[in-house]
Amino acid sequence: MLKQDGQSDTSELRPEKKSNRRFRFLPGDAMIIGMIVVFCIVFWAGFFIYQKTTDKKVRYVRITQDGSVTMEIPMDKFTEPTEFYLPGKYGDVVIYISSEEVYIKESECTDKICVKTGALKKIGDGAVCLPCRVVVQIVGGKGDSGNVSGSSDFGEVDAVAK
Amino acid sequence: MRMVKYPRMSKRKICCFMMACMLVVSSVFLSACGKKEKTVSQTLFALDTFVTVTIRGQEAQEAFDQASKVLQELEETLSRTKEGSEIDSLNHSSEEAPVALSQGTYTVLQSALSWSEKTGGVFDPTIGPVMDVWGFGSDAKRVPDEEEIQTALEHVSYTKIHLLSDSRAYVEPDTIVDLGGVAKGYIADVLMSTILEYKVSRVILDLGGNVCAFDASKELVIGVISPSDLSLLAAKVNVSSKKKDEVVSVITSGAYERYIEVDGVHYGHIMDTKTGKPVETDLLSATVLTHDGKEGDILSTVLFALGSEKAVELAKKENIACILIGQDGTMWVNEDWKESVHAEAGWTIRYF
Repeated sequence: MLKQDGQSDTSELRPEKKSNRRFRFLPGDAMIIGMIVVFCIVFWAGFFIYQKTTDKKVRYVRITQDGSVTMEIPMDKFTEPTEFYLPGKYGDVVIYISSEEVYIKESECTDKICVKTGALKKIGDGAVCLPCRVVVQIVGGKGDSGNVSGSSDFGEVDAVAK
Repeated sequence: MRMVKYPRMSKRKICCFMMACMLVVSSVFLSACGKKEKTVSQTLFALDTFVTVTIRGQEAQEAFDQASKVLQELEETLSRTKEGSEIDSLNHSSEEAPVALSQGTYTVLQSALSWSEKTGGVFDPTIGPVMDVWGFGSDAKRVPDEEEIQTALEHVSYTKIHLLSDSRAYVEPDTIVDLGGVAKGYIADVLMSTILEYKVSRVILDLGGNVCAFDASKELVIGVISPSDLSLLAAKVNVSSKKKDEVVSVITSGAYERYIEVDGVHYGHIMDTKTGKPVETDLLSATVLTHDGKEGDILSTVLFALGSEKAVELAKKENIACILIGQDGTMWVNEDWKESVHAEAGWTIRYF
């Protein structure tokens, strides 16, 4: 209810005792705040633990030839190191696989870049034999889209120019 | 504590409590849903090499699907070996029957010819016949005899390509245009701009070692491979490409990946356009850092072919950001990139 001069006549609406509406911090309030804080901490702790555990993926070795996946097996199955002979365009491509590492041991290609790439150990590592069109990758699961940098153990780099 | 007041206060508290709960729950949902950025990373065989596309973002899959289509289209347009491609048509053109090119192909040719002129033919998109006699690009790599080389060289000259108005062009008889020295850089540029039309926050394109990168949230670290040991890096470069018009391409040329070795002699794939033989250079590799991938592709080849002295001269003159790695273990880097380029152990860095 506004008067023309802009002053409001709200005296009737005002509570009789203003002091009755002042907030008082009661023990119950502390409990509520405490519960919210605990809830947040528990939730975020759970969230981070979940993230950490899902990050520890099983490493799969994936071998692709001519664009088709010919093998995709968890690395921990290779308790006994194994050598695979993959018939390539220029002869066999020999791939060494153990539960720890994978590498192209031999290739009949001319440049041997795939052999020089060395051991692949972590998810995302890959070696490429371009002439034989063979890609060896370590991926995080079946069907997981791995990437091939053709390089391994370069530390914290986002990409490698070569 | 008066019993009369408590119910009035508790309403407010209940409201506050409910609001706090809603805040917590909504923040949880927001953080869970908002961060639902997907990462797609796939390797394709294209451009006679492996192309790895890594995209993070809400529309990563859509962006990847579109990029794959564009990659396929561009490969078919720019290939000289695919019948009916624009470059194949150009190679069969004549003054009487010029061909109409797409704007993209025309721009690539313009850029290639511009640098051919600037470098006096060190870069030449008509080098195709020489590459053919050496067997690069095929399975039959070999060392040709002098006569074969001289015959091939007769058809090599960028002046035999003629660009007309309205995106038309023709070549003189027996000229073979091969955009292999520029195509990957150009395609990376086009793929990147295609992908950036979607909701993405990080894109790394690796076209057989040519890197084109974008990250909206952080500075990127790009490694430059050591040409003397491919399992090591020679340098790490910190690049910032947080804005869409700041996309960085890092492109390296060298003779350590594509070469022929006969009787212990190493023949690299980058040819001297005057002799028709692999370039004689004191460099092991030349890496260019640029916002323009197609120019970067050309310039990395040019700098490598020129050798350290002339390469440094050209880089200064044209303001080219580069890392030149010499056979003697020296690494030349622009003074402007002093803070961003970090050489690995074993390399002597020299700024210019």
